[in-house]
Order: sequence, then structure tokens, then C-alpha cells
Amino acid sequence: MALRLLPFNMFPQILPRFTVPSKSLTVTINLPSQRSTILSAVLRPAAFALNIPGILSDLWESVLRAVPKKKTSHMKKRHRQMAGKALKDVKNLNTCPACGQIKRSHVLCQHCVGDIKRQWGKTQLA
Amino acid sequence: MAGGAAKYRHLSRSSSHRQALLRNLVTSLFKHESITTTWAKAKEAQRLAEKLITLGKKNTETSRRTALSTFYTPHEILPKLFGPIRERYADRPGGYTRVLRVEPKKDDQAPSAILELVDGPKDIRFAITARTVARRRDKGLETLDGITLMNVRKVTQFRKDGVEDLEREISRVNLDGGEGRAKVTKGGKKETKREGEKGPVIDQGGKELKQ
Repeated sequence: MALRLLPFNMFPQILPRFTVPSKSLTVTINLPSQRSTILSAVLRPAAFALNIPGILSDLWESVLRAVPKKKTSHMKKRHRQMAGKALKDVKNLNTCPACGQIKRSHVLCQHCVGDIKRQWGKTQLA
Repeated sequence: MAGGAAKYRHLSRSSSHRQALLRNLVTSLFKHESITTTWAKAKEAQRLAEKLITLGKKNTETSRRTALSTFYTPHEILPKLFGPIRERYADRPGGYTRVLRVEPKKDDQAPSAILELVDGPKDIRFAITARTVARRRDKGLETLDGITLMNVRKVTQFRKDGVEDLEREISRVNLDGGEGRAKVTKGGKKETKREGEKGPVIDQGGKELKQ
């Protein structure tokens, strides 16, 4: 009987977190003999529950401390993600020979194109 | 690059979608003589448009059928293609269309361009060259700089009565702008003056900027 009971009582030692009152265990086994209760009292996980979590708590502390303390703010995140993606200066500029305003080189002057299109529109209407 | 050099732009479309797009573009081009789209679409539509004008110049039964199956409104455009456009480009050895970059028109700032039929009524390079020459004459400069000379040559080379057309356009610009007198000289004279004066023109631009 003692042999049979042992594995059940060993459980709390392996997993000290799931500590169940030993009394309830004996009830479920349906063998409420005097000896088994004594055994269970001897092998009560209380002793281990004090020792093992003592070691574990140090480990847990160090693991928990490796986590960011604060949420990264919107500003910080945007600054990080937009780094090196700033707009470039437009340097390829010259003056339009037809109107004298500034235009991008290799691109038609938008003022002239607009003017000409407007004139074409007028002549079409007329 | 994996897959080798692309022979044409896929324009992020399936074959049928792309074909439909290009047919739409060239139909609009021949209808309006000039269209504004993104630069990549303009370059692809330009290929097709040049081929269609070649068909127009061939003017055979086969070419008529091919053109008929390309346009979406063939009965509107075929008489034009096999009539005025064929005559306009009879002497021109290719290069019937022109793609000019313009400032982005679309919301996504995609590079835009104007695709136009050369020497047509909506030839924007012709109009801008006329304005350039008019402005220079208004300043009292009779000579033209290198690039303007090149543009004048391009615009008048194969155009019927090209020089006269350009002079008329220049005088019209002067009248419209109302800036100074319309100084019309003989067009031939302008082309003989081949002193590409790039330096002074750039200097003037700089002065204007400072003012």
C-alpha cells in the first residue's frame, strides 16, 4: 500500500507549484489508513515548496528583469523607423527659357504647359 | 537579373489587362492627338502608336484589318489614321510620337509624361519652342541658344510650312502675352544663325533669379 501511495505523494515534489492538500489525495484513493496519512505527512511538499522556489525565484527574477520596463513611445518608434528615409533636396533646377520661372531639368515647365493647355481649351470652345 | 532582360514593361497587369490598357491609350491618343499618363504607360503606348502609324502609311488591306482590330472606336479613328495622319507622316522616317516628362499628376507622385503626335495640333514642344523664341526676341536677342536651335529644327523639319507655322505661333504668343512688340523676322534667317550662345542665356537666368 505504501508503495502504491508513494507515486501519488511524489507528485508534489516534482511539481511543487501544484500543491494539493494530501488529505484530499487519501480520500480519493479510498484508503484512509493511518500509515498512509503519516507517510503523506512526512513527505509533505511544504519543505520543498520552501527550498525549490527559493532557487527558482532568483532565476525568475533575472528572467523578468530582461523585459523592457516601458512601452516604446510613438515618437521614439517613428524616429527609429524613419531614420535615413528623409526627403531629398531637389537640386536639378533651372529656369524655363519660355517663361523664366524655375523648373526641374528634363521636365517641362508646369506653368508653360498649364498656360498652353488653357489656351488650347479656349480655342476649342471658340 | 533573373528571368533575363524584360522586353517590355508588364505594368503590373496580366496580358489581357495590359493589352486592353494599351488599346485604350492609343485610341485616346489618336482621338485627342495628345494624352497625359504615367511615364511608363506613355512609353509602352508609344511603341504601339508608332506601329499603328506605320500600318497607316502602308495602307494595305491587311494593315487596315489590323488597325480595325486594335482601336476600340475604329470607325471614328480609321478614317483619320488612313487620311490626315498618313499624309502628315508621309516623309517622316519614324519617330511620329513624342514622350515629354511633366510634373507628377497622380496622387502617388508617379512620374508623369505627355504622349503626343509630332507636328499635330497639340504639339506641346512646338508651342513651348514658340514661346521661348518669342521671349528671346522680346529681350532683343536675335540668336538662339543650342537647345532652342535643336528644338526649332525638330519642330520644323518635317512639318509642312514648318517655319511659317512657327513664326505665326510666335507672333500669336506675343499678341497673347501683350509683352512688347511682335518682332517677326524671316524664319530662314534664324536657322542660318548657328552661334550656340549657351553662356549668356544661363547668365541671364542667374540674374533673374537674383532679382
